[in-house]
Amino acid sequence: MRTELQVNLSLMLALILAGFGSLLAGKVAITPADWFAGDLGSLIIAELRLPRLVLGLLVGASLGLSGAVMQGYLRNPLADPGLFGVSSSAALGAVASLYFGVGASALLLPGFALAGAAAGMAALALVVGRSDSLILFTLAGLLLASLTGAFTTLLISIAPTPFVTSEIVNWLIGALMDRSWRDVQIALPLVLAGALILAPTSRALDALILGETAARSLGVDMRALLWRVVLGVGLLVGASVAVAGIIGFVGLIVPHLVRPLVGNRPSAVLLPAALAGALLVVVADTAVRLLPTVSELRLGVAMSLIGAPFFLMLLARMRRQLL
Amino acid sequence: MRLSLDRLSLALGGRPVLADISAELPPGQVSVILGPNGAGKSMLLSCLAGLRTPSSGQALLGADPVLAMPPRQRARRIGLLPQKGEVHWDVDVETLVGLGRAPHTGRWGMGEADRAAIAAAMAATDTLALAGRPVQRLSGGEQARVLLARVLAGQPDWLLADEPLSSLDPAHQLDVLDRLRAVAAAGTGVVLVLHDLTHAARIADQALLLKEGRLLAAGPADRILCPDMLSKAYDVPIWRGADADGAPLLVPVRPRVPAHAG
Repeated sequence: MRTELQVNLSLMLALILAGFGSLLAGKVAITPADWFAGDLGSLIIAELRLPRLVLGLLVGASLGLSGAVMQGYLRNPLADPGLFGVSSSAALGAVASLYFGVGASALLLPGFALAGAAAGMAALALVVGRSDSLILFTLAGLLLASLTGAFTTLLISIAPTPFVTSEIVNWLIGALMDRSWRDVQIALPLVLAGALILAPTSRALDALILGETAARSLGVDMRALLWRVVLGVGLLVGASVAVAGIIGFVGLIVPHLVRPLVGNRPSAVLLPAALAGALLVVVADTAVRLLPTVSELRLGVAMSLIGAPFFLMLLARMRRQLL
Repeated sequence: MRLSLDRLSLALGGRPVLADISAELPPGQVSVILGPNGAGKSMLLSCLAGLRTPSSGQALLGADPVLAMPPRQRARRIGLLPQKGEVHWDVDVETLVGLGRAPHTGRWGMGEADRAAIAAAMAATDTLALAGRPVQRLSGGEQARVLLARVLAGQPDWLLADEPLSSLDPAHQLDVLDRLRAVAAAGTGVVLVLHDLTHAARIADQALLLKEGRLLAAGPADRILCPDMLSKAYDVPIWRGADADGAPLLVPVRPRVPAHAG
């Protein structure tokens, strides 16, 4: 218990430091003394870097938490929040708004993305019905992901102008540049709602260590748990995709980063995974701003560049354990 | 409080699995469910545990239908040790045993009573020395004891176990049987699905003999576990003998091939 608290406090401290760092990072050098000076520099801090930082926190925490919940729920260390197809449905919504040329409005693109996420969840509900079968759900989610992915590709390939194509492709990579408080306003309530829905699942996720039969015998309502997980993860992932596009690997990796620190018990992983997810995204988003590239490296690319090798390492380690 | 079955039938996907089963299981005793593969033993156990909805009839705890009880309340009264000893995350032994407190713990985590129950369950299974060890690196025998401790930590009135001896070596089989015997002696009703007839004969107070979803016989174990009855259930001659101490031995024997005439 004490190490858990220590880990969480250390992560919070690191997060505060990383937050300061991210406010300092950018093309224009602004010292903390000028943050409240009321000139152009303080405007950059208040209207560009601060909302970007807050969004990074929200998106990272959402992805980290939903990854930890998904892995605990599916009892599978390779599970990812994208598995239910919610993120790709959200992406399809956003791409549709770009395709039809209404994505320019700051509200419409996230709105379309959220509508996409909601439609994805509704489709899942329709297919799965009253069943509580995990296999049915995962398969339906995978099919939904590949179907919406196909539609996204279709929209890219029939886009009216090359400009639209590049806009869509760029958006799909995911990034946090040029965001405003408007995006925070969209994401914050959804993220809070999602976290509140997921928080009470922690004890059921622990019981699932013993498998589904034992968990049910311990009083866990598997159907209620399933819907809680889908709704909570849907809200968190939908909100993240709506404001930042698809940022892969965070949900997959972060739970693995915190398990050596707090142990494998799913409930112990949830909070540190949210904090570490936020930390990872904020640090990575600061790093892409500091890299001396001509145009800023997009966060989604950066994440995949870090994430994929890490994932391979993970697989290699698992293989060694199997031997 | 007694656990009973009242004309319970179960169908899965339109196929009848259990038909019209009525029986009484007295508390503080060991009841054993026997029968060939596919007889419906595990299904009967899940009905008793309230995890399956019978197509008709019901399982009762005292006067309450098991299915009508709120899940958490039911979980406090009836503990289940599933057949597959699944452990999906490598947590330490004490944490795993603590999972058995799930139906009791309040919103703010474990209290004094929870910790005492965990310690008692670990003492009863000789697992205190393993407390800090990761579960997935224990031997099969140790894991079986830890999983038993997990159920005992919930302090249920009834302990249902589905083939608790499978995948254990003979010494550990006897060890687990002794511990289950002790659990019953302490007042908890124990219901076991078993395959080994000799083990069954040595531990059972009551026996339920199933075949093709029907209850062939139920009652005191020494009456049910006789060669005639068992041979009829398993479609193979069963020989009953005794070891040097007079404890029963029940062994299937190869049926004699009738000599061909001409």
